[in-house]
Amino acid sequence: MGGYAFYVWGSYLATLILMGGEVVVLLRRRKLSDQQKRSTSVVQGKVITNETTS
Amino acid sequence: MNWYKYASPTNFYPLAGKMIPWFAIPSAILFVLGLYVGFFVAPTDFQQGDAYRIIFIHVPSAWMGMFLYLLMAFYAAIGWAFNARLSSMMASAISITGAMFTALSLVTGSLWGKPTWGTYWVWDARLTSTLILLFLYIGFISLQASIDDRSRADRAGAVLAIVGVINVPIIYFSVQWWNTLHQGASIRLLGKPTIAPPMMAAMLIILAACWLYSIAVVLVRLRQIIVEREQTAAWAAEARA
Repeated sequence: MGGYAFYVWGSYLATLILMGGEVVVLLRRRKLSDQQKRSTSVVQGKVITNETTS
Repeated sequence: MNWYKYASPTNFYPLAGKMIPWFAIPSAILFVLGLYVGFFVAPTDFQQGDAYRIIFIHVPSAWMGMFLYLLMAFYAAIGWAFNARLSSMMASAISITGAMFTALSLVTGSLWGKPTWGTYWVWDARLTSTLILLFLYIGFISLQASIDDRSRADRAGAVLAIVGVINVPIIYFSVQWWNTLHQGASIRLLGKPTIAPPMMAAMLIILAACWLYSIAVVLVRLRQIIVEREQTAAWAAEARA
């Protein structure tokens, strides 16, 4: 890179970190939301079961 | 085909899911192709040497930061004017990707500035107005996150986004209006570009890749926002009943 490797590769590394990071954060958010949704439906299921049995 | 049907978040959700691979896969292909052209086909610059290769990601990210801001403000305005929930959700979904590209343009610009200007940062018009753009994005995201009532948050965000639009032409024309260290535009709407065709090709291919990436990521985030907001709405309706 003619002595400019740090700056050129640094730029592309920053690109990888920012764009890759965005995708990872987004997928984690989706995973968390799915987990939350599942746990909420389990809790709601228990509440309904209790209501019907009481 | 009734397009108004897709103005409803519930109807748009499955359509967005089908669209994502059509943008994500070509985006990955174009990134690889653009990097290949940029690093193996484009020649070394006679003035800047290989340091100029930062242009292939710096310019597309700077353009994306500006275009996405205009798009975000447009959707926020539509959401505010017509009380269209999906438009407001779209503005929220665009904001993070726009902020990411603006931050990327500042980081890559800074890394390009050191070998060419001898400094990572100067308070010149182009750099400062781009930094203001990043602050506008952060302000929009923070404002929306700080208000619990979604419709109020959307309205407040829309006001900020619309006011901030004034900054986009300032960024674009800053190199003409003021004496700056930053170089002028390499590509003009009217007139010949000032860079070699292979360099231009690499830049445009990566720009297309960035657009497709943005659409794919925004659609994934939009689906997530729809699920979160509609879930809350259903929960609220149940709680009120």
